[in-house]
Amino acid sequence: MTAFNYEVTRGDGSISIRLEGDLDMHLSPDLRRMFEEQLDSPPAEVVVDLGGVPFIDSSVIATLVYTLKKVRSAGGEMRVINCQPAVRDTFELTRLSESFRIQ
Amino acid sequence: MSGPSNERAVDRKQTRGAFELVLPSSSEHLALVRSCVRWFCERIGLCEKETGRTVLCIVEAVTNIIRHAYHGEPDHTIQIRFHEFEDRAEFELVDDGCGVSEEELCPKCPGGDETGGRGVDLIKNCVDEFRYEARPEGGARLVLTKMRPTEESRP
Repeated sequence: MTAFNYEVTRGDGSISIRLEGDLDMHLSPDLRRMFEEQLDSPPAEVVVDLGGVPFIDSSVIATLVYTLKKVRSAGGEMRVINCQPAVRDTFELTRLSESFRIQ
Repeated sequence: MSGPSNERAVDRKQTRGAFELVLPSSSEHLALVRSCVRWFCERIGLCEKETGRTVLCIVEAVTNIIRHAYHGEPDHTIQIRFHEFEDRAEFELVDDGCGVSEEELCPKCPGGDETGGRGVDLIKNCVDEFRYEARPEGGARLVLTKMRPTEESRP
């Protein structure tokens, strides 16, 4: 059981995972576990929707980078959408906006 | 939060007030840290963007203490003191842990495909001044300074 909310929508060759709540070091192990379960065999397109996430820290960035590498190594692509301003700023501060194709 | 504290890590002659938050070294209290820092930033008049950056850097600093100074052990103490000055705010984080190496304090900027090593870089990018010192009695003190907005700098 995780301490944050998420919703998964699967399509033809794609998966969208919408997250909700502040995400930090306390939740990043659960977050990684959820990504590993949902992306055991990742489809070609993975979308992470952060519209419901007001805050992320570097441990969550690390989890997203780990997941991005896993998706790319399986031949897929991953993008992050609907970032709130503070979350977008965190990606910009870490110079990772382009890696995640932030939208 | 308790009232003004007594140690002399900052120039108390100029301080307008100080508050202290004492926490166990467990990540489950990070939500409380965020709430207190956000409240303090709003009190000193930071804009939403700078408030967000300040919340981020204090959370990163507490996370580093939990991970590196206390190796994830939850039964230690972290003190966060919030000092308000006319021109700035200072956040003083005190621990009794093992300290961190110079290499950990001055990390190389990680590449896009590296998973970790971004915490200290984020902290330094979010504050106006970063002071770290080992305490003679053990542990460390980190003082993070954030300048208050002036009339000219307000959007």
